[in-house]
Amino acid sequence: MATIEPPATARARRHRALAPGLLVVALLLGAMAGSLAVGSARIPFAEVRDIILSRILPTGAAPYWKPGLEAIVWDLRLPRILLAALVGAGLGMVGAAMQSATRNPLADPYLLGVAAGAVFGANLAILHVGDILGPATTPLFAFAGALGATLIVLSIARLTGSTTADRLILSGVAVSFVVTACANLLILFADQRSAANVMFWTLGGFGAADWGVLPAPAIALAVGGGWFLLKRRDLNALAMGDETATTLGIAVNRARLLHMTAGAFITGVMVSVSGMIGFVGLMTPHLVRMAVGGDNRVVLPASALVGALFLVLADIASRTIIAPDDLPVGVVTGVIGGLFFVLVLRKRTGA
Amino acid sequence: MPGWTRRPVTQTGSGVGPDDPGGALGLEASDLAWGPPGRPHLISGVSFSLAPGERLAIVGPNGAGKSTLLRCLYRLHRPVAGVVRVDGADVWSLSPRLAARRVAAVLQEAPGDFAFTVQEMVDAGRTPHAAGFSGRAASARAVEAAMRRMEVSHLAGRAFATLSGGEKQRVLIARALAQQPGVLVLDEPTNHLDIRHRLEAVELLRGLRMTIVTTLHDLDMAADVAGKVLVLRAGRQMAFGPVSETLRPALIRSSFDVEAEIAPRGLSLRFDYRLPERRADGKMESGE
Repeated sequence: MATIEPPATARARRHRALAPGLLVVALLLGAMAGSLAVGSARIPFAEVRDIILSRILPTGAAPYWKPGLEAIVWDLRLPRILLAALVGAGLGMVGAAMQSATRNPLADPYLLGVAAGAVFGANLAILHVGDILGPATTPLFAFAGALGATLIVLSIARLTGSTTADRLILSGVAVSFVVTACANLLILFADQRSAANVMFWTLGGFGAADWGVLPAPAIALAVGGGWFLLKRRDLNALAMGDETATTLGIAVNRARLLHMTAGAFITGVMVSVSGMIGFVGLMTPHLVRMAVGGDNRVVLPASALVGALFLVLADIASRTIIAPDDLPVGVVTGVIGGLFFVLVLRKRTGA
Repeated sequence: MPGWTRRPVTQTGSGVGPDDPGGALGLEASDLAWGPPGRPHLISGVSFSLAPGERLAIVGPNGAGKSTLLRCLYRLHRPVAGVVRVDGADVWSLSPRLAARRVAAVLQEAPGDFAFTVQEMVDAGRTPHAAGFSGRAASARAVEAAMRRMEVSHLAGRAFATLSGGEKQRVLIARALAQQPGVLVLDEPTNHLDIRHRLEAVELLRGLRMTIVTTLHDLDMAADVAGKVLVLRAGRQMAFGPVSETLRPALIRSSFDVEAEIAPRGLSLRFDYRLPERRADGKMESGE
């Protein structure tokens, strides 16, 4: 049982994580390539490859494919796949960071009410405010909603005594219910057609993706994810406990607030472009930690990759299960995630 | 009594902390008080002063405020009155990071569900130090030295949660050493340790070239480990001073409600306790 190892330096540890990391990158790229080919219209790989190459490196050669196919691959599927990857990477990272920051392996933007706040903000923008701030309106409102919900959850947890794990989750669930109810009220008071649109968007999906949608999630992932990566050591310290983190030089309450804000930022923007997609943030870091342990220097980037892979695959499923119609991705991840959760529980009680 | 016939702890010569850049720092508390907001103070009027490299044992009955006092020292509780100075500077005038480079702590907090390896736990000791490329090599050296010093190098890849109590304790001390502090604070470091590991812990603490503050249940242990002792009871400081001059029968009676006989043994002391005689009215002898 005791695995005797020579004293591993930090570099050696990172090298150990390198091979599985490259494997996941390869899987992700493979899944994205495969995803370009499948869907209501099945397109041969060679043709997909030539279409993409012709757009990236225009050679002037006459296209041999139907213009319709080019539109499907370049204007519909590619942005959709990229969006799935961005959202998956963002939610995976947020989950890992929030779990460490709250020292709670069950923390997740959905359980903590952050996503519900984002939906409320997005509903407000879409149904009642309009594009007063241009195309960034919905993401910004979603971020504001997510941040508001986060602050409420944190202050409730603090008011009722402490930020211990269970309390935080319970107040998150409570706030989630209230905020979701309010978000539904917003739908009730809106006109029927846009209300139906919002309902479908809320279920979660990448069907509305086009190139114009991508900058917001890309920026959110770069900024928020970059922040988490910068603070990976602090997140480790927080995961070891509040008192320990204090003795390691972390201003615990301030740090937790900053990390939750960054998490709300990513979650808000991701929800605004893809609706409610649950379980990615909860499940991904669990899987990653099972494979590589708890060190956020590995867990954060790995969660981004695995989250991206998971949502790209889930999106393939959502496009093929009831083709030519789309199944909302949120439904797919909900089913898979729920079953996964049962397995985790079983493994835990078995261990 | 068989438990008392243990060999005297020997002093080890190689008492250098890993890299040992700053060396031991002086620590001073003056008229310290702390309590949760709106509640009575849990400790008050605590004052002591330690020269660099001195070792202090904080003793007292359960609930005396020992852990509270430690929390003031490692900058978790901001004193309601009084001040804690490390190397002359108020710890609350330092940034959390700077304070953590001066004072490290070994606590009893469980590290949670996050599957950290031993290597990662010790590595966390470098959190308060500037990262950067130049710092990285020095950090790796400090971590390795700390793990060697605590003899946990062979456990590097093991999950912390799977270790025995004694191994865990050694890993946590290794983390504190990797922090390269001038002051080391420990909360009941000998709890959950078997006899052998207790002796090793005593030897270790005496060998470290840092200023050390530790809470201890056991007065024998306190006499073994520390040169100075601070006695707390119900949040009040009963005494502070050199061990042999301070731990006298009268003080032990008034602080712990037990009668004690004290015998010198080597450089240390041995204590033999018994309950005070009951008076006719059933109350304990007050001892005055």
